[in-house]
Amino acid sequence: MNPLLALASSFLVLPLMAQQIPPKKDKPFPLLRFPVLGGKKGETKTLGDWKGKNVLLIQFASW
Amino acid sequence: MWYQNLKELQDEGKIQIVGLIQEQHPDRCRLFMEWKKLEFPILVDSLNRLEVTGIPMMWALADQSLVIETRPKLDWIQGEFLEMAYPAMIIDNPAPKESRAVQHYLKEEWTQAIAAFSLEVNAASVQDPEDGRPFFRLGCAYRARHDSEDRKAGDFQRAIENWTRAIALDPGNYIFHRRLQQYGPRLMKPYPFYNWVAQARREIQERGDKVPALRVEPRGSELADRSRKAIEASKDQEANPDPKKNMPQDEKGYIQIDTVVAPYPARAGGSVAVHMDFRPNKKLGTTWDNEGGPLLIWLERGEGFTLAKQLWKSPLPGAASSSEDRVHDFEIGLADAKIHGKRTVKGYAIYFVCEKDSGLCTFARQDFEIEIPYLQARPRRSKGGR
Repeated sequence: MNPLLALASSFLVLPLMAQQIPPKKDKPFPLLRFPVLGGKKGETKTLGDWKGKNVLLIQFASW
Repeated sequence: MWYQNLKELQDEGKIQIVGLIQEQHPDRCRLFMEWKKLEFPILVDSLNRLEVTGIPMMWALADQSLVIETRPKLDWIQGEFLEMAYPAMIIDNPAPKESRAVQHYLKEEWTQAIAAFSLEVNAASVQDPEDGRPFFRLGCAYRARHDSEDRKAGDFQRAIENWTRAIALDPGNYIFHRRLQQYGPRLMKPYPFYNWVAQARREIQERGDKVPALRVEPRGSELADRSRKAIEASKDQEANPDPKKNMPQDEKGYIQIDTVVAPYPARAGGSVAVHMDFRPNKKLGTTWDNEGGPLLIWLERGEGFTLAKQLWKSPLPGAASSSEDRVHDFEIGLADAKIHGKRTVKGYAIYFVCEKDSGLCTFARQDFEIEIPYLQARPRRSKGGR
Protein backbone atom coordinates (compact mmCIF):
# COMPACT_ATOMS: atom_id res chain seq x y z
CA MET A 1 0.00 0.00 0.00
CA ASN A 2 1.06 3.51 -0.68
CA PRO A 3 2.85 4.72 2.50
CA LEU A 4 0.93 7.97 2.44
CA LEU A 5 -2.34 6.09 2.44
CA ALA A 6 -1.17 3.83 5.21
CA LEU A 7 -0.49 6.93 7.25
CA ALA A 8 -3.89 8.32 6.34
CA SER A 9 -5.60 5.12 7.37
CA SER A 10 -3.86 5.22 10.74
CA PHE A 11 -4.55 8.78 11.68
CA LEU A 12 -7.56 9.56 9.50
CA VAL A 13 -6.01 12.95 8.91
CA LEU A 14 -3.57 13.91 6.23
CA PRO A 15 -1.14 16.69 6.85
CA LEU A 16 -1.48 19.83 4.83
CA MET A 17 -0.65 19.05 1.26
CA ALA A 18 -0.66 21.68 -1.39
CA GLN A 19 -2.60 20.72 -4.49
CA GLN A 20 -0.63 20.97 -7.69
CA ILE A 21 -1.38 21.87 -11.27
CA PRO A 22 -0.93 19.73 -13.26
CA PRO A 23 -2.19 17.10 -10.80
CA LYS A 24 0.51 14.95 -9.21
CA LYS A 25 0.55 11.58 -7.50
CA ASP A 26 0.16 11.73 -3.70
CA LYS A 27 -1.22 15.27 -3.88
CA PRO A 28 -4.83 16.42 -3.60
CA PHE A 29 -6.46 16.90 -6.98
CA PRO A 30 -7.28 20.59 -7.53
CA LEU A 31 -10.99 21.14 -6.92
CA LEU A 32 -11.45 23.48 -9.88
CA ARG A 33 -14.98 24.06 -11.11
CA PHE A 34 -15.74 22.80 -14.61
CA PRO A 35 -18.81 22.88 -16.84
CA VAL A 36 -20.40 19.46 -17.23
CA LEU A 37 -21.03 18.18 -20.74
CA GLY A 38 -24.75 18.47 -21.44
CA GLY A 39 -25.31 20.58 -18.31
CA LYS A 40 -27.18 23.85 -18.05
CA LYS A 41 -25.55 27.16 -18.94
CA GLY A 42 -23.22 28.25 -16.14
CA GLU A 43 -23.59 24.96 -14.23
CA THR A 44 -20.29 23.64 -12.92
CA LYS A 45 -19.00 20.75 -10.83
CA THR A 46 -15.79 19.79 -9.07
CA LEU A 47 -14.54 16.33 -8.28
CA GLY A 48 -15.87 17.05 -4.80
CA ASP A 49 -19.33 16.31 -6.19
CA TRP A 50 -18.40 12.61 -6.14
CA LYS A 51 -17.28 12.70 -2.52
CA GLY A 52 -17.14 9.31 -0.86
CA LYS A 53 -16.38 7.41 -4.05
CA ASN A 54 -13.18 6.20 -5.58
CA VAL A 55 -12.97 8.15 -8.78
CA LEU A 56 -11.23 7.18 -11.98
CA LEU A 57 -10.70 10.42 -13.88
CA ILE A 58 -10.10 9.73 -17.56
CA GLN A 59 -8.87 12.48 -19.84
CA PHE A 60 -9.42 11.94 -23.55
CA ALA A 61 -10.55 13.75 -26.70
CA SER A 62 -13.01 12.99 -29.46
CA TRP A 63 -10.45 14.21 -32.01
CA MET B 1 -12.86 -3.44 -23.87
CA TRP B 2 -11.23 -1.37 -21.11
CA TYR B 3 -14.44 0.57 -20.81
CA GLN B 4 -16.60 -2.55 -20.42
CA ASN B 5 -14.39 -3.72 -17.57
CA LEU B 6 -14.53 -0.36 -15.85
CA LYS B 7 -18.26 0.03 -16.48
CA GLU B 8 -18.92 -3.22 -14.67
CA LEU B 9 -17.10 -1.83 -11.63
CA GLN B 10 -19.05 1.40 -11.92
CA ASP B 11 -22.38 -0.44 -12.21
CA GLU B 12 -21.48 -2.35 -9.05
CA GLY B 13 -20.86 0.98 -7.27
CA LYS B 14 -17.17 0.27 -6.71
CA ILE B 15 -15.80 3.20 -8.70
CA GLN B 16 -17.05 6.34 -10.36
CA ILE B 17 -15.72 7.09 -13.84
CA VAL B 18 -15.46 10.79 -14.66
CA GLY B 19 -14.26 12.07 -18.02
CA LEU B 20 -12.19 15.17 -18.68
CA ILE B 21 -11.85 16.92 -22.03
CA GLN B 22 -10.06 20.03 -23.28
CA GLU B 23 -12.03 20.50 -26.51
CA GLN B 24 -13.14 23.87 -27.85
CA HIS B 25 -16.46 22.37 -29.02
CA PRO B 26 -17.40 19.99 -26.18
CA ASP B 27 -20.73 18.90 -27.67
CA ARG B 28 -18.79 16.96 -30.32
CA CYS B 29 -17.62 14.76 -27.47
CA ARG B 30 -21.28 14.27 -26.54
CA LEU B 31 -21.88 12.88 -30.03
CA PHE B 32 -18.80 10.68 -29.66
CA MET B 33 -20.05 9.36 -26.29
CA GLU B 34 -23.47 8.54 -27.75
CA TRP B 35 -21.83 6.79 -30.70
CA LYS B 36 -19.55 4.69 -28.50
CA LYS B 37 -22.24 4.26 -25.80
CA LEU B 38 -20.00 5.68 -23.09
CA GLU B 39 -21.93 6.51 -19.94
CA PHE B 40 -20.17 8.71 -17.43
CA PRO B 41 -20.12 12.44 -16.65
CA ILE B 42 -17.66 14.66 -18.49
CA LEU B 43 -15.95 17.74 -17.06
CA VAL B 44 -15.02 20.32 -19.69
CA ASP B 45 -11.67 22.07 -19.35
CA SER B 46 -11.47 23.95 -22.66
CA LEU B 47 -9.03 26.47 -21.14
CA ASN B 48 -6.74 23.64 -19.99
CA ARG B 49 -6.65 25.03 -16.46
CA LEU B 50 -5.34 21.63 -15.33
CA GLU B 51 -2.37 22.19 -17.64
CA VAL B 52 -2.25 18.66 -18.95
CA THR B 53 0.47 18.14 -21.50
CA GLY B 54 -0.70 15.01 -23.29
CA ILE B 55 -3.61 12.70 -24.07
CA PRO B 56 -4.83 10.34 -22.74
CA MET B 57 -4.27 10.71 -19.01
CA MET B 58 -5.86 8.90 -16.11
CA TRP B 59 -5.86 9.55 -12.39
CA ALA B 60 -7.10 7.22 -9.64
CA LEU B 61 -8.46 9.33 -6.80
CA ALA B 62 -9.32 8.23 -3.30
CA ASP B 63 -12.44 9.80 -1.91
CA GLN B 64 -12.56 12.35 -4.76
CA SER B 65 -9.46 14.23 -3.85
CA LEU B 66 -6.16 12.46 -3.24
CA VAL B 67 -4.32 11.24 -6.33
CA ILE B 68 -3.36 7.63 -5.56
CA GLU B 69 -2.06 6.68 -8.97
CA THR B 70 -1.56 8.18 -12.40
CA ARG B 71 -1.99 6.14 -15.58
CA PRO B 72 -3.12 3.10 -13.55
CA LYS B 73 -3.24 -0.30 -15.27
CA LEU B 74 -6.49 -2.24 -15.43
CA ASP B 75 -5.31 -5.04 -13.13
CA TRP B 76 -4.27 -2.45 -10.53
CA ILE B 77 -7.72 -0.85 -10.73
CA GLN B 78 -9.48 -4.21 -10.46
CA GLY B 79 -7.21 -5.28 -7.62
CA GLU B 80 -5.37 -2.93 -5.33
CA PHE B 81 -7.54 0.12 -5.99
CA LEU B 82 -10.74 -1.69 -5.04
CA GLU B 83 -9.22 -3.46 -2.06
CA MET B 84 -7.93 -0.31 -0.46
CA ALA B 85 -10.09 0.94 2.35
CA TYR B 86 -10.29 4.68 2.45
CA PRO B 87 -11.55 5.99 5.73
CA ALA B 88 -13.06 9.42 5.74
CA MET B 89 -9.83 11.25 5.27
CA ILE B 90 -9.63 14.86 6.18
CA ILE B 91 -7.57 16.47 3.49
CA ASP B 92 -6.82 20.11 3.39
CA ASN B 93 -7.91 20.78 -0.16
CA PRO B 94 -9.74 24.07 -0.44
CA ALA B 95 -11.29 25.03 -3.76
CA PRO B 96 -8.84 27.31 -5.60
CA LYS B 97 -9.87 30.90 -6.13
CA GLU B 98 -10.60 31.44 -9.79
CA SER B 99 -9.61 34.55 -11.70
CA ARG B 100 -12.29 36.98 -12.80
CA ALA B 101 -11.63 35.94 -16.41
CA VAL B 102 -12.27 32.26 -15.65
CA GLN B 103 -15.42 33.12 -13.69
CA HIS B 104 -16.81 35.02 -16.69
CA TYR B 105 -15.83 32.17 -19.02
CA LEU B 106 -17.61 29.59 -16.88
CA LYS B 107 -20.75 31.75 -16.96
CA GLU B 108 -20.41 31.98 -20.77
CA GLU B 109 -20.05 35.77 -20.50
CA TRP B 110 -17.71 35.87 -23.46
CA THR B 111 -17.23 39.62 -23.87
CA GLN B 112 -16.37 40.06 -20.19
CA ALA B 113 -14.12 37.01 -20.34
CA ILE B 114 -12.26 38.48 -23.35
CA ALA B 115 -11.77 41.77 -21.50
CA ALA B 116 -10.51 40.03 -18.36
CA PHE B 117 -8.23 37.59 -20.23
CA SER B 118 -6.82 40.55 -22.19
CA LEU B 119 -5.79 42.09 -18.86
CA GLU B 120 -4.13 38.78 -17.92
CA VAL B 121 -2.24 38.82 -21.23
CA ASN B 122 -1.04 42.37 -20.54
CA ALA B 123 0.00 41.46 -16.99
CA ALA B 124 1.82 38.33 -18.17
CA SER B 125 3.74 40.29 -20.80
CA VAL B 126 5.32 42.21 -17.92
CA GLN B 127 5.51 39.56 -15.19
CA ASP B 128 6.18 36.42 -17.22
CA PRO B 129 6.71 37.15 -20.93
CA GLU B 130 7.37 33.47 -21.66
CA ASP B 131 3.95 32.32 -20.40
CA GLY B 132 1.71 31.12 -23.25
CA ARG B 133 -1.28 30.24 -21.08
CA PRO B 134 -3.00 33.66 -21.02
CA PHE B 135 -2.78 33.85 -24.82
CA PHE B 136 -4.24 30.36 -25.20
CA ARG B 137 -7.15 31.18 -22.88
CA LEU B 138 -7.83 34.52 -24.55
CA GLY B 139 -7.97 32.64 -27.86
CA CYS B 140 -10.51 30.21 -26.40
CA ALA B 141 -12.71 33.10 -25.27
CA TYR B 142 -12.57 34.78 -28.68
CA ARG B 143 -13.52 31.54 -30.43
CA ALA B 144 -16.34 30.92 -27.93
CA ARG B 145 -17.77 34.36 -28.66
CA HIS B 146 -17.39 33.72 -32.39
CA ASP B 147 -19.69 30.70 -31.95
CA SER B 148 -22.23 32.64 -29.88
CA GLU B 149 -24.95 35.14 -30.70
CA ASP B 150 -22.61 37.90 -29.46
CA ARG B 151 -20.14 37.16 -32.29
CA LYS B 152 -18.12 40.10 -33.53
CA ALA B 153 -16.21 40.36 -36.82
CA GLY B 154 -12.60 39.35 -36.25
CA ASP B 155 -13.24 37.09 -33.23
CA PHE B 156 -12.07 33.91 -34.95
CA GLN B 157 -8.97 35.59 -36.38
CA ARG B 158 -8.05 36.91 -32.92
CA ALA B 159 -8.49 33.39 -31.53
CA ILE B 160 -6.05 32.05 -34.13
CA GLU B 161 -3.63 34.91 -33.47
CA ASN B 162 -3.60 34.24 -29.72
CA TRP B 163 -3.24 30.46 -30.13
CA THR B 164 -0.36 31.02 -32.58
CA ARG B 165 1.28 33.27 -29.98
CA ALA B 166 0.72 30.71 -27.21
CA ILE B 167 2.53 28.04 -29.25
CA ALA B 168 5.38 30.41 -30.08
CA LEU B 169 5.89 30.87 -26.33
CA ASP B 170 5.31 27.25 -25.37
CA PRO B 171 6.11 25.09 -28.42
CA GLY B 172 6.00 21.84 -26.45
CA ASN B 173 2.40 22.21 -25.32
CA TYR B 174 0.34 19.44 -26.93
CA ILE B 175 -3.04 20.98 -26.12
CA PHE B 176 -2.05 24.35 -27.62
CA HIS B 177 -0.88 22.61 -30.80
CA ARG B 178 -4.04 20.56 -31.18
CA ARG B 179 -6.23 23.65 -30.93
CA LEU B 180 -4.42 25.42 -33.77
CA GLN B 181 -4.03 22.26 -35.85
CA GLN B 182 -7.80 21.83 -35.69
CA TYR B 183 -8.32 24.96 -37.80
CA GLY B 184 -4.96 24.99 -39.56
CA PRO B 185 -3.71 23.68 -42.93
CA ARG B 186 -3.19 19.99 -43.78
CA LEU B 187 0.55 20.45 -43.60
CA MET B 188 0.17 21.01 -39.82
CA LYS B 189 -2.22 18.14 -39.14
CA PRO B 190 -1.37 14.82 -37.55
CA TYR B 191 -4.68 13.28 -38.81
CA PRO B 192 -8.25 14.40 -39.65
CA PHE B 193 -9.84 15.52 -36.38
CA TYR B 194 -13.57 15.16 -36.95
CA ASN B 195 -13.99 12.88 -39.97
CA TRP B 196 -15.71 10.37 -37.63
CA VAL B 197 -18.76 12.63 -37.22
CA ALA B 198 -20.60 11.48 -40.35
CA GLN B 199 -20.08 7.80 -39.50
CA ALA B 200 -21.18 8.38 -35.89
CA ARG B 201 -24.40 10.08 -36.99
CA ARG B 202 -25.16 7.33 -39.50
CA GLU B 203 -24.60 4.49 -37.03
CA ILE B 204 -26.57 6.16 -34.21
CA GLN B 205 -29.44 6.72 -36.62
CA GLU B 206 -29.29 3.14 -37.89
CA ARG B 207 -29.71 1.75 -34.39
CA GLY B 208 -32.72 4.04 -33.83
CA ASP B 209 -31.16 6.34 -31.24
CA LYS B 210 -31.34 10.11 -31.14
CA VAL B 211 -28.36 11.88 -32.70
CA PRO B 212 -27.11 14.70 -30.42
CA ALA B 213 -27.12 18.04 -32.22
CA LEU B 214 -23.90 19.96 -32.71
CA ARG B 215 -23.80 23.66 -31.97
CA VAL B 216 -20.95 24.19 -34.43
CA GLU B 217 -20.68 21.91 -37.43
CA PRO B 218 -17.11 20.74 -38.19
CA ARG B 219 -15.94 22.18 -41.47
CA GLY B 220 -13.07 22.39 -43.94
CA SER B 221 -9.81 22.03 -42.12
CA GLU B 222 -11.46 20.22 -39.19
CA LEU B 223 -12.37 17.38 -41.54
CA ALA B 224 -9.32 17.50 -43.80
CA ASP B 225 -6.74 14.74 -43.72
CA ARG B 226 -3.06 15.39 -43.17
CA SER B 227 -0.75 16.06 -46.06
CA ARG B 228 2.99 16.43 -46.22
CA LYS B 229 3.00 17.73 -49.79
CA ALA B 230 3.34 21.38 -50.64
CA ILE B 231 0.36 22.88 -52.45
CA GLU B 232 0.63 22.58 -56.23
CA ALA B 233 -1.09 24.84 -58.70
CA SER B 234 -3.67 23.11 -60.87
CA LYS B 235 -2.65 22.79 -64.52
CA ASP B 236 -6.25 23.20 -65.66
CA GLN B 237 -7.01 26.54 -67.23
CA GLU B 238 -9.75 28.17 -65.22
CA ALA B 239 -11.97 30.89 -66.67
CA ASN B 240 -12.14 34.17 -64.79
CA PRO B 241 -15.90 34.79 -64.47
CA ASP B 242 -15.62 38.59 -64.52
CA PRO B 243 -12.25 39.65 -65.95
CA LYS B 244 -13.38 43.13 -67.01
CA LYS B 245 -15.28 43.93 -63.83
CA ASN B 246 -18.62 44.15 -65.61
CA MET B 247 -20.57 42.95 -62.59
CA PRO B 248 -21.96 45.76 -60.39
CA GLN B 249 -20.03 46.22 -57.15
CA ASP B 250 -21.87 45.34 -53.96
CA GLU B 251 -21.95 48.93 -52.71
CA LYS B 252 -24.82 48.33 -50.28
CA GLY B 253 -23.02 45.54 -48.47
CA TYR B 254 -25.55 42.80 -49.16
CA ILE B 255 -22.99 40.23 -48.08
CA GLN B 256 -20.44 40.63 -45.29
CA ILE B 257 -17.21 38.71 -45.73
CA ASP B 258 -15.19 37.62 -42.70
CA THR B 259 -11.83 36.08 -43.59
CA VAL B 260 -9.62 34.11 -41.20
CA VAL B 261 -6.08 32.88 -41.81
CA ALA B 262 -4.50 30.08 -39.73
CA PRO B 263 -1.86 30.12 -38.41
CA TYR B 264 -1.40 33.86 -37.91
CA PRO B 265 1.33 34.77 -38.55
CA ALA B 266 2.16 31.96 -40.96
CA ARG B 267 5.58 30.53 -41.69
CA ALA B 268 7.27 31.12 -45.06
CA GLY B 269 7.73 27.80 -46.84
CA GLY B 270 4.57 26.44 -45.22
CA SER B 271 0.88 26.91 -45.90
CA VAL B 272 -2.17 28.52 -44.35
CA ALA B 273 -5.80 27.52 -44.05
CA VAL B 274 -8.17 30.28 -45.13
CA HIS B 275 -11.71 30.33 -43.76
CA MET B 276 -14.14 32.69 -45.48
CA ASP B 277 -17.61 33.37 -44.11
CA PHE B 278 -20.16 35.02 -46.39
CA ARG B 279 -22.98 36.39 -44.27
CA PRO B 280 -26.19 37.93 -45.66
CA ASN B 281 -26.75 41.41 -44.20
CA LYS B 282 -29.61 41.02 -41.73
CA LYS B 283 -30.30 44.77 -41.63
CA LEU B 284 -31.00 44.73 -45.37
CA GLY B 285 -32.85 41.43 -45.15
CA THR B 286 -30.53 39.94 -47.77
CA THR B 287 -31.32 36.46 -49.06
CA TRP B 288 -29.49 34.24 -51.52
CA ASP B 289 -31.46 33.72 -54.73
CA ASN B 290 -30.26 30.21 -55.49
CA GLU B 291 -31.85 30.11 -58.93
CA GLY B 292 -29.28 32.71 -59.97
CA GLY B 293 -26.46 30.19 -59.55
CA PRO B 294 -23.82 29.46 -56.93
CA LEU B 295 -21.63 31.87 -55.00
CA LEU B 296 -18.39 32.19 -57.03
CA ILE B 297 -15.02 32.96 -55.51
CA TRP B 298 -12.10 33.93 -57.73
CA LEU B 299 -8.51 34.30 -56.49
CA GLU B 300 -5.71 36.04 -58.42
CA ARG B 301 -2.39 34.27 -58.69
CA GLY B 302 0.61 36.25 -57.51
CA GLU B 303 4.23 36.13 -56.52
CA GLY B 304 5.29 34.30 -53.37
CA PHE B 305 2.23 32.10 -52.91
CA THR B 306 0.56 29.11 -54.58
CA LEU B 307 -3.13 28.48 -55.17
CA ALA B 308 -4.33 24.96 -55.91
CA LYS B 309 -7.32 26.49 -57.68
CA GLN B 310 -8.46 29.95 -58.65
CA LEU B 311 -12.21 29.43 -59.06
CA TRP B 312 -14.42 28.02 -56.31
CA LYS B 313 -18.15 27.42 -56.40
CA SER B 314 -20.13 27.18 -53.20
CA PRO B 315 -22.65 24.29 -53.21
CA LEU B 316 -26.27 25.33 -53.63
CA PRO B 317 -28.96 24.39 -51.12
CA GLY B 318 -32.18 22.83 -52.40
CA ALA B 319 -34.40 25.83 -51.60
CA ALA B 320 -34.93 28.57 -54.21
CA SER B 321 -34.17 31.21 -51.60
CA SER B 322 -32.18 31.01 -48.34
CA SER B 323 -30.35 33.23 -45.88
CA GLU B 324 -27.71 30.98 -44.30
CA ASP B 325 -24.07 31.92 -43.71
CA ARG B 326 -21.94 30.31 -46.41
CA VAL B 327 -18.52 29.12 -45.43
CA HIS B 328 -15.67 28.35 -47.73
CA ASP B 329 -12.29 26.92 -46.72
CA PHE B 330 -9.16 26.47 -48.82
CA GLU B 331 -5.39 26.55 -48.42
CA ILE B 332 -2.61 28.74 -49.77
CA GLY B 333 1.04 27.67 -50.03
CA LEU B 334 3.73 30.20 -49.15
CA ALA B 335 7.12 30.41 -50.84
CA ASP B 336 10.33 30.35 -48.85
CA ALA B 337 11.51 33.71 -47.57
CA LYS B 338 14.55 34.68 -45.54
CA ILE B 339 12.91 37.61 -43.80
CA HIS B 340 9.53 38.27 -42.21
CA GLY B 341 6.93 39.77 -44.51
CA LYS B 342 3.37 39.78 -45.75
CA ARG B 343 1.62 38.34 -48.78
CA THR B 344 -1.62 39.75 -50.10
CA VAL B 345 -3.94 37.54 -52.12
CA LYS B 346 -6.52 39.46 -54.12
CA GLY B 347 -9.84 38.08 -55.22
CA TYR B 348 -13.53 38.70 -55.54
CA ALA B 349 -16.87 37.01 -54.97
CA ILE B 350 -19.93 37.07 -57.23
CA TYR B 351 -23.39 36.27 -55.95
CA PHE B 352 -27.05 36.70 -56.80
CA VAL B 353 -29.01 38.12 -53.88
CA CYS B 354 -32.34 39.76 -53.08
CA GLU B 355 -33.10 42.72 -50.81
CA LYS B 356 -36.15 42.31 -48.60
CA ASP B 357 -37.62 45.85 -48.56
CA SER B 358 -37.30 46.74 -52.24
CA GLY B 359 -37.69 43.19 -53.51
CA LEU B 360 -34.71 43.91 -55.79
CA CYS B 361 -32.72 40.87 -56.89
CA THR B 362 -29.32 41.47 -58.42
CA PHE B 363 -25.92 40.05 -59.24
CA ALA B 364 -23.21 41.72 -57.21
CA ARG B 365 -19.44 41.55 -57.00
CA GLN B 366 -17.32 42.17 -53.93
CA ASP B 367 -13.54 42.49 -54.14
CA PHE B 368 -11.45 41.38 -51.17
CA GLU B 369 -7.85 41.01 -50.08
CA ILE B 370 -6.48 38.26 -47.86
CA GLU B 371 -3.46 39.44 -45.91
CA ILE B 372 -1.05 36.75 -44.76
CA PRO B 373 1.73 37.94 -42.47
CA TYR B 374 4.55 35.40 -42.26
CA LEU B 375 7.73 34.70 -40.39
CA GLN B 376 10.92 33.75 -42.20
CA ALA B 377 11.28 30.11 -43.26
CA ARG B 378 12.71 27.67 -40.74
CA PRO B 379 16.35 26.84 -41.45
CA ARG B 380 16.66 23.58 -43.39
CA ARG B 381 18.50 20.67 -41.85
CA SER B 382 21.66 19.91 -43.78
CA LYS B 383 21.78 16.47 -45.41
CA GLY B 384 24.65 14.16 -44.64
CA GLY B 385 25.95 16.28 -41.79
CA ARG B 386 26.78 15.04 -38.36
